[in-house]
Amino acid sequence: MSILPSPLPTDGKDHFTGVTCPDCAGMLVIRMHRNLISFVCRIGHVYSPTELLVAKEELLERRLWIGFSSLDELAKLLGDFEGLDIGAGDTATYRQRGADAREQAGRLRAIIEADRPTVLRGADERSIRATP
Amino acid sequence: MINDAGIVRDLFVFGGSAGGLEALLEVLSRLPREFPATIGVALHRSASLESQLVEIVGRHVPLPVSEPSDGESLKPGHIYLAPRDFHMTVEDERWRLDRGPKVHRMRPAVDPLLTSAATARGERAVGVLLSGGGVDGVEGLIAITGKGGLSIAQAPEQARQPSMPVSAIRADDVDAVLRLQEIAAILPLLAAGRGVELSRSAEVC
Repeated sequence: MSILPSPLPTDGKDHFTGVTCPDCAGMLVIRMHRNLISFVCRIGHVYSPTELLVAKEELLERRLWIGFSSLDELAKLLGDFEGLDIGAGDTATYRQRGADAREQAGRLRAIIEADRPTVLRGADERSIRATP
Repeated sequence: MINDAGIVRDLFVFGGSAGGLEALLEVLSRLPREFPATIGVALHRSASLESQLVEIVGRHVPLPVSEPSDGESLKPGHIYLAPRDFHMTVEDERWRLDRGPKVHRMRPAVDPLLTSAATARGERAVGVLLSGGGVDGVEGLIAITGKGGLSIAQAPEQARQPSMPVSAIRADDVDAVLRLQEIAAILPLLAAGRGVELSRSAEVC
């Protein structure tokens, strides 16, 4: 299922997409004003296609690091709980879950470091459709 | 020929990004001391770093330069710069500053200034898009053209980063594509309501 209207609307009106705003998570509409393509959210963040892609790439990396940080923090917390013998779990459970979280954190970090965002060359010219 | 109807243009709004400041200075430094229109400028700039933009522009330009406060009246013969981290728009003959949503990931952005100028002044507005990357300002220029104002793009071959003017030329029926010296030369004529004969290469149909 595509998340942009296809073909792109040419009536100059706003059309809903299945894409959320990278800044506020509101739904984005796509509009073609003359032949300039813009994505606009309900409260007024505006992106060209290139800017949207860049913002989505940055958001993805930020979110992946949040995932890594959550796993890493959980593993350390479980280690301390195990050492201090606090909370409603037993030490073996803490140890097992801590080891799992550490391993998952390592794998996620490797994914983040191996990831390569889209490389965009030069200007934003493809934000404007050639006149048919 | 542009402005053959002899309309007095009394608000000139400029936008630019990379290379935009040097282009702006090239134009504004050539203006006469007596300039009867108001000039508004939105350049992409850091939202969080202090800069001496007012001082830099003020050193090169024969007209008073300032960042307006919210609600300040537009004065003729004055240059207003959009402050860092605020969109600057015109509403009811006053400047409005707002920290609304970023446009093209920028605040200040060019589109809000140009679009508001089109709404506020209609055919009396002139939009000028200078050197810069991306497409911010193009929608604003389209709005100005749509209200009968004039739209001008810096000649791309002269722009350090030509994407903004190139995008404007591709997306809008810009009235003229001009070199900075030519823009400076026609501004006083447009502000006086005089028609301007352009060289053939500068006319865009």
